[in-house]
Amino acid sequence: MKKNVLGKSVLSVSLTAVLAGTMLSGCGGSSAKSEAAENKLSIMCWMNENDFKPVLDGFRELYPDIEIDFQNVPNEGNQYQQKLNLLANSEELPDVYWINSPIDNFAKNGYMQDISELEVVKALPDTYQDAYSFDGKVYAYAPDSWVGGMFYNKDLYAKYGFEAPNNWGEFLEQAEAFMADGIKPISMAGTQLNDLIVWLHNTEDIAKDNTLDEKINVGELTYSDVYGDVMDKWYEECVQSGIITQDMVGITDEQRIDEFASEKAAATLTGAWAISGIMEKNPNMNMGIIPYVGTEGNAYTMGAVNIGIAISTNAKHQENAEKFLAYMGSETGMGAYQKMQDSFLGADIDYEVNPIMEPMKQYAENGQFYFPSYHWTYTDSMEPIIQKGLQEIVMGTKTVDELTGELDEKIAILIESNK
Amino acid sequence: MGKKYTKKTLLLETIMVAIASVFMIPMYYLVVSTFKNQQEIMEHPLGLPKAFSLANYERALSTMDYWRNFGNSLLITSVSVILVIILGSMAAYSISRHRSKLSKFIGALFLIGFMVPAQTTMLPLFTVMKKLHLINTYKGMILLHCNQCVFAFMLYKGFIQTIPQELEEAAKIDGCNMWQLFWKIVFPLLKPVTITVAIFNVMWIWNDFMLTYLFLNSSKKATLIMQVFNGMGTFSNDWSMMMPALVLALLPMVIFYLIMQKQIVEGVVSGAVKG
Amino acid sequence: MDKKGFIKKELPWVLFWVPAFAVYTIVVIIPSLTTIGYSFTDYNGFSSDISFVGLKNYLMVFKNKAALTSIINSLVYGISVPILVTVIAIPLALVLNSKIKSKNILRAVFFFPSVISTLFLGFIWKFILSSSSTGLINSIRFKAGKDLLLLLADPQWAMPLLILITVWASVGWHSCIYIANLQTIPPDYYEAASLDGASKFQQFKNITLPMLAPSMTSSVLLLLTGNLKAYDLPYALTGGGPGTKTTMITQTIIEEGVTSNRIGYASAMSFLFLLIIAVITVSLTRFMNKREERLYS
Repeated sequence: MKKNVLGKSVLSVSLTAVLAGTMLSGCGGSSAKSEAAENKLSIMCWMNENDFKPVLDGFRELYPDIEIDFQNVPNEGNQYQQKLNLLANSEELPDVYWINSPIDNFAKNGYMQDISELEVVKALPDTYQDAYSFDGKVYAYAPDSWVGGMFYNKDLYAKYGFEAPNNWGEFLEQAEAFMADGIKPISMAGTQLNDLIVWLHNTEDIAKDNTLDEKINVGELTYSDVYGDVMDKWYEECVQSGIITQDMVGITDEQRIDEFASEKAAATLTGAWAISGIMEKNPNMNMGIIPYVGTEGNAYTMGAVNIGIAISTNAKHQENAEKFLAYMGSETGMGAYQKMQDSFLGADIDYEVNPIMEPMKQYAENGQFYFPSYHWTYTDSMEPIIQKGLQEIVMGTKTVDELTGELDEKIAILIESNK
Repeated sequence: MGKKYTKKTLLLETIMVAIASVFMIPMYYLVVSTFKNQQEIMEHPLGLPKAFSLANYERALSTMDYWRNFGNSLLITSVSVILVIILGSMAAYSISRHRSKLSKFIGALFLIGFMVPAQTTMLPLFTVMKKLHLINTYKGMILLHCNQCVFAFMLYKGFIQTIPQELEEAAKIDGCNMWQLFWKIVFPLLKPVTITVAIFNVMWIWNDFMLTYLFLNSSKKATLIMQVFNGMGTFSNDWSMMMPALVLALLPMVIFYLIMQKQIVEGVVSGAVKG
Repeated sequence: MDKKGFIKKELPWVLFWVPAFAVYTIVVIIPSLTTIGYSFTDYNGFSSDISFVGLKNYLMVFKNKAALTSIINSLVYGISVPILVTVIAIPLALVLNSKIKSKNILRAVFFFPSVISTLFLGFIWKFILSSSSTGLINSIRFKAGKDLLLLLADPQWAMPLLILITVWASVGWHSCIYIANLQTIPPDYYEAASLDGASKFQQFKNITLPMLAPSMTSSVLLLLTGNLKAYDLPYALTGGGPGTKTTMITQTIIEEGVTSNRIGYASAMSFLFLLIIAVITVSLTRFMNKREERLYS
């Protein structure tokens, strides 16, 4: 009897151990080795699989044997970059991944391959190569750029007898007239309150010296130096005048598009990606686009070289990754990619943009576009502060000086800790 | 507490029905919007749809691989919930029946788990998961969700303490070992708590966003909730498409709730009072 | 007892909790200890050279206004939600446990929001409470020719609205906890009390409330630990705005730790907040348990 009990308790012990074992078996390295041998390619980007399908289909047609593991993280509130950081920290980056500029941190710490020598990269104009270069080497392939501006409701403007504004002063005058009738001159979301600052920064400062933001990165200039005046002007002429209102703080991006589409606002600042949504909401919309115009009537609009495509240093499927980049640079790949984004191309192939965007083509080709945060090394840290800070300024709980002071303090810490 | 249905009760009933109707407005708004087009949503937000049409659902379904994502959610949720029940009940049995210093310590340690927010430990957790090769795997997701066994442990522990030990003693004399004793005698007695644990974990694990966002990358492996969230980027300018996607993602839980309603309320009862 | 006998006796018991403990170690213990370790370093996630910086990160948290604001926000939110839910859930439970005919449907209705992902609840309410004229409430006001309300964009109202929505979402299932408890109170207690001439209110105060002590302990603790560490709902509803009015500590930790890669600093913030949660939870547990013993025995 006694022996029997012992036997049974041994059984119970071993059964429990088996259970524990199955639980933990997940912990043994299982798939890492076999994966390399398979003909796969892992891709991560912030575009939705459904939107991205035409691009992938072209690649599948070319290489039907390669199995694509498509990974998608939407770019809501910085989540894409967060995920990239986590994957980089744990060296789990996919073979090919989309990465937004600036890439300094990733390049410096060896998460991206130097792709300067790839044919498709060499074929790009210098501006495109430079946007994703670090220390003289290109780390990501960015074939296109987005250029945006002020979309305005032509019919509404005509009703007031207005032409699109030719300079900042005209823009302000027209704004007064719209506001008098309860129409928002510009519809704006709480996450993009800085767009009118970008407008002024581009036309008043960057048009003259486009290295200002780079100087902030290394501590040669401060945010107060570069943005102090522009933000004061913005506060006086946009916030105090009532162009920017408190309700905007709580408005989402889709809602401000709604406001523009439903003619509650005369204009909005955005890019080609918004066109289809606006037309769907209001099929009768007759809209046009103009670049950002300065106090002296000069034009310097918002835009940037689009997100780049990088190959991970630890890519498990190196050859396939290179094939993919070559495909993205080919006429089919780039064509499908351009169509999906409705963007402007740096490469020398024929393409069409939405007719509404036609007026922006000249600015895209002349390089008269800029977006400051793409030039900030620490953009992911600075943007949340600016976003919250501008909301507080609009609500009246913070001043411009306090915000620039906060930004200077933060960047000093970041520069110091990254030495 | 009156025994009869009086005028007062009628008044109370009327008031409650009114409150409940207001309470459900957000849900009504969501569902009714899914049958309208964009313009109609903007013009008549609360009115009934002019024409009952499933077109929005068809469009939303065509942009997502619904059944695949549904299958992923089902797989992850069901395996995790079963493991949570097994792990939680076993641990609770051992720790509440065998009061050694070690078991007291372990019991106390489990309590801390309630307080640690996942956000505060996600960076090191990511490194741990990487070392175990569990990032972007179903196994990894299941392991993470299994940590809910700490909650199950708490509920089971409270319940086991109220069960008399005589049955177990008798079984021991009959020669049952601990394993048999637990599964044949104790576990069936735990049924009310098991139902509670199962219900709550089905809801939590199915609806999980944070862990799935962090540890699953591939679109093919995405859960339903994740897939709808990923789709927000595309849908975001088009509410008439986003709302059906939301409804489609919520639907399985609503059905689960409607079927299990009685058990849910009863389950909460047993868990709460004894726990 | 000899060693072998001891092992033979202890081992099965230990093996029963080992699987749960293994999972817990991987998912909670190791990461938590690592977080504490990181909090004394300048680790940035990228470079492998990490240096010890002592208490510098902790001092920085106390000096940083944004960090302190978000800690205060989390406390305000995490404490007011349990209070409000408890105050509403108990009367609701009484009503839903009374003789009204529609009680089963009503229970289902009030429980319903708990079934839905909090992230999506946030999105739905964002449509409703937007300051834009396309939001549900404002579009109705707009058509009626009334002024638009700021709602979620109003610095004074954002936090109260967020709290109310959380209460809306959780009150149903917490009243279910109380209903469960109510059903265990023997009816003769009330009969005896009525014979003694006690009013309804006195009955509530002297019988119902004390008898609800056990469920109150579970409900309050669940609410407190759940809401102090909330992230999904505030993030989906307001994204932390307007300004920093609804930025929770969890959001700040993610922004600093993951987005800006200041892992050392974010870890210090995490550990401090964990201490705050622990102190509140442990002292409340003690208080509630004592109260339960006093009232229930």
